[in-house]
Amino acid sequence: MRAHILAILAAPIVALPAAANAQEEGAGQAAYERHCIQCHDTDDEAVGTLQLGRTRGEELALLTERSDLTGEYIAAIVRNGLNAMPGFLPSELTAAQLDALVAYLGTASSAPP
Amino acid sequence: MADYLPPGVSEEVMAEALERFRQVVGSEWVFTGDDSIPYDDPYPVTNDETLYRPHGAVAPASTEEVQGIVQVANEFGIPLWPVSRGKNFAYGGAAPVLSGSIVLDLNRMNRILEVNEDFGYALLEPGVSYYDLYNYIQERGLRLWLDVPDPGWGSVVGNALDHGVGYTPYGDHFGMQCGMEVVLGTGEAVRTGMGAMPGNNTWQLFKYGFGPYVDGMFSQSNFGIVTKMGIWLMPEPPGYRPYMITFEREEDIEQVIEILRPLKVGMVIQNAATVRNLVLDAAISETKSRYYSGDGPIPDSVARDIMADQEIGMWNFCGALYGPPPVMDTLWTVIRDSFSAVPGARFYFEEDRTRRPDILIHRAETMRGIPKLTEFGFLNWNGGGGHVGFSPVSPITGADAIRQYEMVSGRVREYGFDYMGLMAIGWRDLHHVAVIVYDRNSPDERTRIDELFKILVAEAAAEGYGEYRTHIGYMDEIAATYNWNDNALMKMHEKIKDALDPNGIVAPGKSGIWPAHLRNTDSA
Repeated sequence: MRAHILAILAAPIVALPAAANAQEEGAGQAAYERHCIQCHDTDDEAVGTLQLGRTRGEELALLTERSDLTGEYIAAIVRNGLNAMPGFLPSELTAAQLDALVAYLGTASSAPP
Repeated sequence: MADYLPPGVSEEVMAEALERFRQVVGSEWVFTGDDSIPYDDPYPVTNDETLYRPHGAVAPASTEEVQGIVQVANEFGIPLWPVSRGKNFAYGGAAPVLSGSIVLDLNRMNRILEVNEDFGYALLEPGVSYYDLYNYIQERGLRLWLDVPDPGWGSVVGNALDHGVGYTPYGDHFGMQCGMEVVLGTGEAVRTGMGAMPGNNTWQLFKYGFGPYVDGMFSQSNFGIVTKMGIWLMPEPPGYRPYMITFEREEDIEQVIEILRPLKVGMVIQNAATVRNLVLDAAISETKSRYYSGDGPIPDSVARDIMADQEIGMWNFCGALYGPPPVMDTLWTVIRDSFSAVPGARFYFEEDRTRRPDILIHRAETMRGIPKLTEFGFLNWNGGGGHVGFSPVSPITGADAIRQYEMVSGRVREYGFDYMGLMAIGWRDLHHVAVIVYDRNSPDERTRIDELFKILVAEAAAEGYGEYRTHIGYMDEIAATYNWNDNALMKMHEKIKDALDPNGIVAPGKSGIWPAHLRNTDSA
């Protein structure tokens, strides 16, 4: 298990593809707002954003503004967690919802500022 | 990943059982192999990778599907590990005590069956999170408040069943429970209290029904699977005023608790009060490296730096006033005058706090039942994200508080960790919750945590302090400390277990209770 995760973490970093269509983008945004935003929002109590700012730098703190993460990497972290962040169960975030979330983050990160 | 199997179950039998589970819930809701990795404990306290590993998970959507799964599990001898949302993270997450178990994941049972504004209650399935219920109430403009634990993504039902606490006047979560539906280990569904009477309309209003009151038997237990539960909700008060009082010295905790007791028992302090130590509060918004680059726990000089930087105390009491303004004014006068006896005590309302993030600004939301995940910030204190809670109970006395603090903080620091703790004051008890934050990726730290935890349990028991709740890895140790009269309580638990779950398929090992076929074996 852990070797599999390490392989993903070491994967080349490329920009994510944009969401395939509006429906997928809507599902991805819904998944983001249900499961991610509480820790990865812009407010001053968003613990994920705070920690990414400390460890990766302010320019990489906000998930929705990042373009350096692969979809495979995001999916692996969502399922397996990383340091303080625990993974999400497939019953609460299905495989299809995870795909939409990954696509949404790709769209969000490629949107013009 | 390796496929872990429960004792006495072959690969072939497990495969057949999984196929039958798929027939009950649909193949997309049975998870094995890599799909079941998220059910592992994200914050392991051991280096033995064979412990607490599920074989897989099954996620039903209804009571009927739970009954179907229990039937199959009985037929094939498959242990099930029920979880409501699987987010009991300081205590093992969704992971089972017994490796090879199938996690019975109730996330899909997430219906809010009723919210009654007039009477102030909700009837919920176990997959409903605090966020779900909060959003439901807000969207409908109902004048009801939740009581939330620190992380808001957990299950309302699951937290109450594990005796979780919150921070409003409704902070004793299981105390606010009223009526359950339970699927027993035999597959039979039971409704407790008034729910046992067909056509009755007081299931969520009167707890006791007629005859023995059994709801408590299904908390922290493996006697059945709770599939519905009533929870009382607080009517929105006419006024709300949160406050914080800070104290400068470690030893102040003794005097602070002595002052708190009569105020809390006499209900002058209305909410579930918590006195939290410096590092726990500071770690919510900052990491250790900001203040200290040395090894081991922070020295006293650094503690003073943190106090000055965050304008908090060595101990910080966050409370709130609820009610009409004249009532709040009167209560505040008593509270302020009482704590003014502690030298150096400082008093704050929200408008006095300018730093962001700030502990009172944050807790002002928690104490009015707004679910959040802000507290997860303290897991980043030293970067590794692991945490486990050690939670002994004592009377609300200054002598017990200082004794507990010295015992636990001394050992925690001896093992190289910072003491992060709180004293939560219930109706008559003091829960001392020490959260030990460690690097979950470090085998050395996991080894130290495991050794430290076992010492803490033994030393607390020697002083007469028992834990109210624990990680899956320490359930046997803690159950063994509740051993009055030759383990009479455990013997009774085992008789109940054998009667309600004769094949022992529900959560073997939960709270140290093992089914007959696994009792006194290597698994137990």
